[in-house]
Amino acid sequence: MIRFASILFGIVLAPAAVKAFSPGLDLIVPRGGQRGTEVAVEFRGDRLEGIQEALFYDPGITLKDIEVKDTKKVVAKFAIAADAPLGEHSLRLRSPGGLTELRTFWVGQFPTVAEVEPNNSFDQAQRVDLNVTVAGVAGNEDEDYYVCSLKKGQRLSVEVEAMRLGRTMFDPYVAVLDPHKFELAVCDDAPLLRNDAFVSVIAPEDGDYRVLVREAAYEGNDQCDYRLHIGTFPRPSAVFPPGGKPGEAIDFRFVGDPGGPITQKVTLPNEPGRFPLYVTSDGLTPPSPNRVMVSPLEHVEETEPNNSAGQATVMPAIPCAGQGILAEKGDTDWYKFHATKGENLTLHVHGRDLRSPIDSVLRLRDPKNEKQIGENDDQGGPDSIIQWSCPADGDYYAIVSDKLGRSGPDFIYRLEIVRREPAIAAALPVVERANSQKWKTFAVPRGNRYAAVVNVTRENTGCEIGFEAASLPAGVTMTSVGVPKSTNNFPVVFEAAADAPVAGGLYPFTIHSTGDGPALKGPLKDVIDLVDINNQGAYHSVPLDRVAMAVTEESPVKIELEASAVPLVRNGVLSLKVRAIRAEGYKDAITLHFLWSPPGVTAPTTVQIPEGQSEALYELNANGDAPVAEWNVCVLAEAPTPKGTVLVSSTLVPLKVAEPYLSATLELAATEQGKAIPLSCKIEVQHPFEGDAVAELMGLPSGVSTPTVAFKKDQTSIVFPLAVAADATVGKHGNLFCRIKVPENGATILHQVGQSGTLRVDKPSQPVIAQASTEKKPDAPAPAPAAAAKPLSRLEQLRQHTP
Amino acid sequence: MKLQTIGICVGMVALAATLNIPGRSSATKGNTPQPFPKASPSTAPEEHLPSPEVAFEAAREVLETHCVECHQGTKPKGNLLLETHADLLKGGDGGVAVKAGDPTGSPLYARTRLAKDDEDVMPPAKNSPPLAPAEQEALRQWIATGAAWPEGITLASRPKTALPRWDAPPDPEIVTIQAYPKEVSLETAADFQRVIVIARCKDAATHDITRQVKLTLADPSLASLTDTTLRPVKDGATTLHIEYRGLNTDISVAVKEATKPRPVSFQLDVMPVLTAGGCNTGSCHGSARGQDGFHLSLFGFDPKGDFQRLTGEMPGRRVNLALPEESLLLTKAIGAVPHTGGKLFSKDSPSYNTLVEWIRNGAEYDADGIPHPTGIIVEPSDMVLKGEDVRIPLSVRATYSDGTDRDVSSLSLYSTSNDNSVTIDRHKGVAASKHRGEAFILARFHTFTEGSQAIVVPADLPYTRPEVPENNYIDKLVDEKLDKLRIVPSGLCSDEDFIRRVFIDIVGSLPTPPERESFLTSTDEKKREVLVDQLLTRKEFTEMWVMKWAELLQIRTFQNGGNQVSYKAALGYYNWLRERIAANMPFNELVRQLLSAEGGTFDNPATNYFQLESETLKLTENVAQVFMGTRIQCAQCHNHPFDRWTMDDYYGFAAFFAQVKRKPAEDPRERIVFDGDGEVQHLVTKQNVAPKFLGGPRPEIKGVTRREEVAKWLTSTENPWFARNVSNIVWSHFLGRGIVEPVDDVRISNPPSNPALLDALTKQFVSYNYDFRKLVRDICTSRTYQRASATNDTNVTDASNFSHAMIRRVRAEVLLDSISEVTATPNKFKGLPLGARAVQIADGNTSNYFLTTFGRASRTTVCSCEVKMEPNLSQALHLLNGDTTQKRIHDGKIVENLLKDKKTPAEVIERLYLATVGRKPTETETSKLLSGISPGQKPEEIRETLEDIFWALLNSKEFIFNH
Repeated sequence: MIRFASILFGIVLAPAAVKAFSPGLDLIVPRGGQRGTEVAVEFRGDRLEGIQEALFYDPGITLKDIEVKDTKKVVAKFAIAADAPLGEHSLRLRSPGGLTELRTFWVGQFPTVAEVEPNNSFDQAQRVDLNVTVAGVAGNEDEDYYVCSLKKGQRLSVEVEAMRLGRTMFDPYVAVLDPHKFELAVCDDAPLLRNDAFVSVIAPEDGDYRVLVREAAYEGNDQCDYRLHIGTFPRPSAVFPPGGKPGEAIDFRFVGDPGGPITQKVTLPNEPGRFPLYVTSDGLTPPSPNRVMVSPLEHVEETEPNNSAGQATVMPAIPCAGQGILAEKGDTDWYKFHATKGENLTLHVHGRDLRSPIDSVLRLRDPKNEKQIGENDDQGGPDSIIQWSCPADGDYYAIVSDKLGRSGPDFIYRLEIVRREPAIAAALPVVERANSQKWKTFAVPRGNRYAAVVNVTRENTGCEIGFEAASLPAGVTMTSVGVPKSTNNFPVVFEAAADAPVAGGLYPFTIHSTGDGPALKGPLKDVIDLVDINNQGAYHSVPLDRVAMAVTEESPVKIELEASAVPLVRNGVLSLKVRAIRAEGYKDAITLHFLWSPPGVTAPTTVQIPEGQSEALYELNANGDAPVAEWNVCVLAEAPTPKGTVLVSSTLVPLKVAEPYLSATLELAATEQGKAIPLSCKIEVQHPFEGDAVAELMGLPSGVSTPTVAFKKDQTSIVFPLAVAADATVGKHGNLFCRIKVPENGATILHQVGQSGTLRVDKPSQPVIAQASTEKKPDAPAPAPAAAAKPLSRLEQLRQHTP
Repeated sequence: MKLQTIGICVGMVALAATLNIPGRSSATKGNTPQPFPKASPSTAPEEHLPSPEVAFEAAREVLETHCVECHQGTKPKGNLLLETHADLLKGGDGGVAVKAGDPTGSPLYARTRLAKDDEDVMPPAKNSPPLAPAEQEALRQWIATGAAWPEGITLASRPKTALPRWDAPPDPEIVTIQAYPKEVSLETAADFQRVIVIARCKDAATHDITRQVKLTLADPSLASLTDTTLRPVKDGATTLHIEYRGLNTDISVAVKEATKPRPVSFQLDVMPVLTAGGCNTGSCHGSARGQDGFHLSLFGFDPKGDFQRLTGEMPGRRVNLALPEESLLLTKAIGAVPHTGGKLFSKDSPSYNTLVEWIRNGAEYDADGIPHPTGIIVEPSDMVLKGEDVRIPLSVRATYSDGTDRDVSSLSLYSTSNDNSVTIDRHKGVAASKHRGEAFILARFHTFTEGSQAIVVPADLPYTRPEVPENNYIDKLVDEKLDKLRIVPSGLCSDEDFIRRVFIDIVGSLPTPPERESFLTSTDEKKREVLVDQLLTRKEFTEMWVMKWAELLQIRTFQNGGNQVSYKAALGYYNWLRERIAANMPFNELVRQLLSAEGGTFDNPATNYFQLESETLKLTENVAQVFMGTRIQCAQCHNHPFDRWTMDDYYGFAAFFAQVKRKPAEDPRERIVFDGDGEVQHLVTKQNVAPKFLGGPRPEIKGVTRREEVAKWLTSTENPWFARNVSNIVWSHFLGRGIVEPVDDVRISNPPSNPALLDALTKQFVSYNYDFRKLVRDICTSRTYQRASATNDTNVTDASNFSHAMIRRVRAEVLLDSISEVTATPNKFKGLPLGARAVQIADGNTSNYFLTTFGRASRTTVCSCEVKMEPNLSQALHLLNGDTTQKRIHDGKIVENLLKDKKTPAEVIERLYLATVGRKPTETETSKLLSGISPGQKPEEIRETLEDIFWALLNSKEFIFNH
């Protein structure tokens, strides 16, 4: 098969340096547009010459009129549907050479106007109409002023998209100044929008009002793009209740708007999840939604006063949810729920994850002995989670409060109490620090392969897992073997037929449990961190439920990983041969990654196939605890071309991890400088072999040497004749071990045994006298030691020397 | 304490001359004479001799003035003691000193008559001149009349400067006499109290007249009087009447439980003896590893541990219960066995007796609940010593938690801050004047240290208080102190100097030539006040103080593992401070908000204070240093040796900050500061320590966080530290030196140079509702601030009493701003627009070479020493050669533009002078400078010469210093 493949390749691999691989997309200009319009856009990046389409993760935008200006610039048009969802639209571009990074484009409801500098002071403000979106840049120490006219009582809302645009670290600040230069409202960070900001005021008088935008610490730069929505739209900061059941029609109360609460009936969708709600007022909606939880849980809304055990709001039967607001300073909301003995429960306050300002503290009390039995402030974020096993049937209290005792009409939360159910999920790993975009698409060259690693998480289960794709691009097949319980990640290989059409799309993947136990299913989800500084944590991320895949044009190289005829033994070493089948004229050095290592097996991060060469050995080490099992492994190769790097992989090949065939124990040995000594090594063969095994003694100090020793399976000991130079390093050398090559199937299995062998080298015991005696009796031959019929152990040697 | 056995502090006790002792007829007319002990008959019956008592008095004066100095204490010369009658009878190495009735056979008299060069002559020729014939005669007559010595009289050396006795004619110079303590309270049989009396003169000079006054107990049956020491006899209340040359004063005497014994207590009696003996000092057994195998806690901060080491280590050796006198503790102390520390006290001394009795009673530790000392009172609290060798004794009284007090003068340790002016005996507590100057006399007992202010002025100084106008209360208090020091202050500075000085100090910039012109030409009598008021309203004033407080609040970016202050947080913190100072928020309110702040470091920027220092103990120390001006660091490991702070104080204060917690916020750059659980443990006891205000009570905290409680206490109007400290910091900015200096080292051993002034400023500051603008106004409109920097003969050496203006180097930021201003070259700093001032920099870590060289604070510590004002070589070199001057002169094109405007070189020079040093050049300067320019030169050369002049001006001291 391998031979066949190489022949095929000889024909198929086209000469290199024509196609562009790995197109890169740095920026989409402008950063957004109005829905219901066509927007001319410009894509900036690298190797963009072959761009064919855009893969949108969200509905509502189509790409048209693509015109490649040069390799770094493509212009086109976005046709934005009138009903396109507001906000962030993620997309990648696809060329025959691959898929770009994910970038975003923002859809708004208002026409866009550009910032016109200078607009750096109150008196130099740029005049804008109401209900527009300004596309601007906050440079270093730059302050941008906009002015608009309002009538008394008119609402002025301002919301800025800055960090969310995902281009760079840009923490914006906005302020609204009245005609007398007084600040009516300011906002730096808002829990609703994280680092982005919004303000909303009612004009106290007729006049010109200024809107100020800047970087919060004046640390802006030319990349600090923003989209500033200025208008009369409503801008509530929160909505209550924060959740409901699928399909439920609820009167939602939007709070935080300066015009007062707005109540609107909304029917929730049938799909569970976080659902965006847009309030409408005078035909306008805010630029970004408030979010509620759609969940089948029975829910109850708190009834104040519920500040004590006696007043606790009673929750429905578990699983359930309680929904409330910490409206008064120091407010504590008590909930009573019934739990039965042995139930494993999760109590989870959803607050900040619904963008509420609350920094929740959740406490759990047992009313019988009035004892607190659990407390949680943060669990990886401001929201609180308590995992709890109910010790006895009865009523319990869950108490929600704010860490700092803060409160307000928007301190909304949803407390969920659910049984801990088994669940599985999959994700793509981040392979490079602070670069979550790397290796996040599956681009498979025609007639070639691509491999990826998938991480899995298991909650309350230890099941084996299988990986599946509902569909794949035409001509692409997927190879994945099951994931045993002992690992949390696994490799998967995609192979495109030589005649697979060059195309792409977004494809969902799922994992499912295999083996015994309940049937579980979970999605593959990915997160792209668009702004991630110094590994501190992401400032803006895009969650994805599909992976972009493409069949690309042929790669100039194909990789073969040769399966080993012998196993890798514990504490042993195994070298796997990797071959590169190069297209004619393709000579570049190729970087190999051992994409996934079985547990207990380590491999170098990368190995190079040097320029012009076609082979490399990938050396694997197994530690003493490596599970004995058969795995499937592959290598991924990064092949640079003048026009981008192409990634190809080998097939999955089996790798067997086995018990060692033999063990060895090195005897203690002690000698003096210049005095040869035999070192014996006991051999115990557990797995008989044919032919000669060859043992090599490693770890000898400088000045001590010994030849290799061959032995057969029946031998129980071998002797290394150590030659000790007169200047051999004196001391106790305790790192001796044996490398034994055991033959099998025409190959050898490298064992590393007999660890911690010790050789002591002393100075000659009586150098002066010895010298004198040589002078006196130069001819007296030292009695030749009896031919070492049997090498003596250290103890026996000592006995010999003792009178 | 076995106080009755501790004995008499000889340096200040021999007061018998003035006691109402029967038989001293010359002194006590009208009293019934009592016979002296029988003396041997006179050798010369024909000679008319005075009565024995008169002879004793005359001889006593000679002995006390010339002899006792050497023949007293633990190491008397020739082993002859002359303090008590018993000493006299005992004699010395040469045998009996006095043979009653036989003057010539008495060495005491005979040796005074030896030839001047005889090596046996007394007093020794190297010490002092021979006795005058009249003095020799007094001794002869005394011995001839039988060498009488009235009972209970103790001699003490007497300075030659001592005032006459109480029955001398009144001295109009003496205004009042004061006795200390004002009230005497004697409790239990062992109690005693010595009274000292001070005379105060019109010129504020003080004199000790303790030995010269007449004391009369209204009811002599209640208490006994030995010299001036009162001891209880029976319960009741009476008064002690004190009389001196027509002046009188009374003190009340109360006696309680007069017959009740008081057993020796380990903590109340034994520990003070060990401390007074110097056993537990850092150089002896108090060192960290002890000394010669024996360790005591430093200054006795751990009595329980000391007890254990005395009794538990080497049982039977240090303390021998079977043979108390054989205890090593005692044999070492009296030098009976070799002791590295030498002999500390003699056998049968009060200290010795205390220790023996404690061991005899079983060497027990005290039962719980015994009273503990609560403080000490040192009197007199101030003294002015006129001339050399004027001596004043100090009285130290300790107060106890049960309301009693004790005279611990002899158990206290004394020290002086300036032994060139005032010396003090370490154990006796008698201050003696030396050279002109000031000193602070400290007395330490238990954990308490208190002090007394002493000024020494020459006796024969030609001085009359000058008539100096006073603008406000500041001047009054400063001038009063100067009067005490006999210092004549400098006159008022010129208007030219004033406008430059006040601009630099208040707004941190130089006056522009037009501003200067309009001020100089103004004829408004109050123009200086008007100018100060104008400057106070400028935003630069706010910025100046934001910068100063930002230094103390350490506003800067910072990264230490999870704890970080990002630039955004630092900027927020800075703006928080700026907004409050700009809005004139009362400073105590600002600090209250700061110390009780909780929330996100972006949300509530004041919380960054707790991010910048997350170690509880360091945070505690910072709060004490910044807001109370006191450094408590020492007390982390032992009681503070130079201040009042104990380890209990330290950990009690730290407990307020033990519950500050921090957690990550959603933004990775932000942290949330809140209050949770947490305690601090005492280093010695390992027990949790309950919060206790530093130098204040232990509060009951309910419903608020510990930080809120301490913030409330610290910033309350009753707090004795806060307003005082802020006032001192403000004062220091304008006068170049704090009233306490350094401003963040308030301690008892570093007292204010003018306590009354500091008190007054504090009081005003509080009454202004902590608005330091008003305080600045008081200071800048005072004559004290407006004094010239030129000195006169009397104030040339004064550096701490504000008798003249201090010449101060302009601080780094202001200097850079000034250079930038006069060279018309704007600065660019991070986060600030081009042309912003260095004063406005928010982040302590934003700096440049110039600022760093000139000592800008990096704000890494709270120390006031962070801002370096001392000139150094690299500063000079940077100004001479660095790009700050050369390049800016070139870039700013000031000279070029002036020449373009057709200004003559003379006009250009005048402009440059006005802009930089705020004055016109003198004629000499102009002519010398113009001599470098000739009309024939190329314009280019003229420009270069003028730029060199500009460069020279920027390098002149007149520019770099505020004067």
